[in-house]
Formats: sequence, structure tokens, C-alpha cells
Amino acid sequence: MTRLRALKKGDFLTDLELSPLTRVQISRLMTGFNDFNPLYVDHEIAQNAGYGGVCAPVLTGLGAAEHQISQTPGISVVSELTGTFLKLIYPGDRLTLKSEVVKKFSKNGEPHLNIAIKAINQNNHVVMEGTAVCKTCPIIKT
Amino acid sequence: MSDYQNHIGAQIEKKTFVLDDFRLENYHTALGILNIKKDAPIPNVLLSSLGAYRRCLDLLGVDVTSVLHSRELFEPTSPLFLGDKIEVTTHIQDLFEQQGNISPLGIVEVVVTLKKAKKSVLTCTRTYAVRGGFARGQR
Repeated sequence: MTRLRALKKGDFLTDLELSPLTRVQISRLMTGFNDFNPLYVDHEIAQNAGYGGVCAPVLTGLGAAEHQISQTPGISVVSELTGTFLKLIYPGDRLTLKSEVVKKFSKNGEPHLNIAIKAINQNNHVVMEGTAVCKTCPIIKT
Repeated sequence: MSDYQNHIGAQIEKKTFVLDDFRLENYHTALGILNIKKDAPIPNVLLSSLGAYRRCLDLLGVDVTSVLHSRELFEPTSPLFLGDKIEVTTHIQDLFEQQGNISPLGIVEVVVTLKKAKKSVLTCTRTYAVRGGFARGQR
């Protein structure tokens, strides 16, 4: 895997591919996100609301993106992370996270990266777009 | 100013938590993340979820099934770890309506601030879009 300090504009982080999302995983995400929206578990409510069926919390894509970035060797701090949710995620969807370095700069003497993030489903639809700003200084436990 | 806008600036909840591994374990398992060290920082996405978002929507009388979670912003200043004691404050930052493609959308911006030892360590801004706007989206 690429070391963060060696990354430059135009480089991609190693893709992160999630396994197809199951309903059990969705239940676990609901617990993690403390989000007990019936749209995630009740097919009838989801259909009546116009979603076609139960869906997953949209934060799933952003959570995976944060993991992808934080797993890149050399990275320590994500100093800003943003995601815009474009499409719903459904059970069975297989998400792939693709993240590209769009800018490398120095701030207060520390190397920083701006990273553009995309979560894409198995139909090549972008379900989430986002950006991250990362630092490479060591993590300090206070 | 519309009635719903009276809630702008309202503090919804202020709570103290000790970060434990129950949610973290469910979160990691759900994402298929198995190689996590116990001393790694807690993901911002998970920390942001400690906010009282549902209570904000309930206060506005919005039907949760008419709500789309549209945007999330994290601005961490210091990492948090299992066992940290934190204070979580949730407030409604902005409420307004805008015209969507088909119908109006009610926009709800909720800000959650996490403090450790009275020092702000993470600010999360979540944006919801209420299909049909506030009037139609209300129960």
C-alpha cells in the first residue's frame, strides 16, 4: 500500500471493496449510528414512503471512506471529512471506495492532502461524493 | 419568519458519555473491518452519531420517513479513544425551505459538538432534507 507522504496529486488510494451489504449488517450499522429509522428494517413502511424497499444508512459509505483513508500507511489525522449522499444504498449493494489525491500542500510545516472520495455501487452509480483533508503528523493521545 | 424557524439555535440535548466498545464493535463488524487495534482513534463517523438527531426531527414534528440525510461534515481537532469521557451537545443550527426538482424541501442543519475536558474536539454538521418541506413533512 502506498505511504501517505509519498502520495502526490493524481494518485489513488488503494480501493476498498465492501462485501454485499446484508440486512444483519444494516442492523449493526443502525446500532453503531444510533439511527433506528424504520426505513432500514420495515419493508412496508419503506415502500409506502417511496423507497422501493428497506435501505441502509447513507453514512455507511462515509464510514467506509474514513476507514479507507485511515488505513493508508503514514496517515494519522483526518482533519476534515465531508460527504454528500446522492443515492440510497440497498441490501445486496456492493460498494467500492475510490479516493484520489487532488492537492498536496503544507500547513504549519506539516504535509497535508486533499482527497476526493467516491463511493460507487455495483451498477457504477456514485452513491456518495466527499472530500477529506488529512495530515501526516503522529497521533497524540491526550 | 415561519413558525418552524423559531427552533433555530435551540439546544436539544447535552449529555456526557464514556466511549465504550459496544457501538464500535457493531460498526466495525458491519463494515467488515476486522483488524482494528483497541488503541486506534474512534472513527469520526461513529462519534458524530452520538448527537440527538432524532430528537431534533421530533421537535420539528417531522415524519422521519420523509427525511433524507443529505450531507455530513466533520471537523475534528483531536482524536478520541475508547474510555474517553466526553460531553456531547446537539443544537439546531439552521432551518429553511428551498424548491426541489418536484416539490419543496425543508432543510435542517444540526450541529453536534463533542468536548473532552471542556475542550472542543469534534464538530459535526449534519444536513437533512425533508421531502415536501416542513408543512407537508410534518406529522
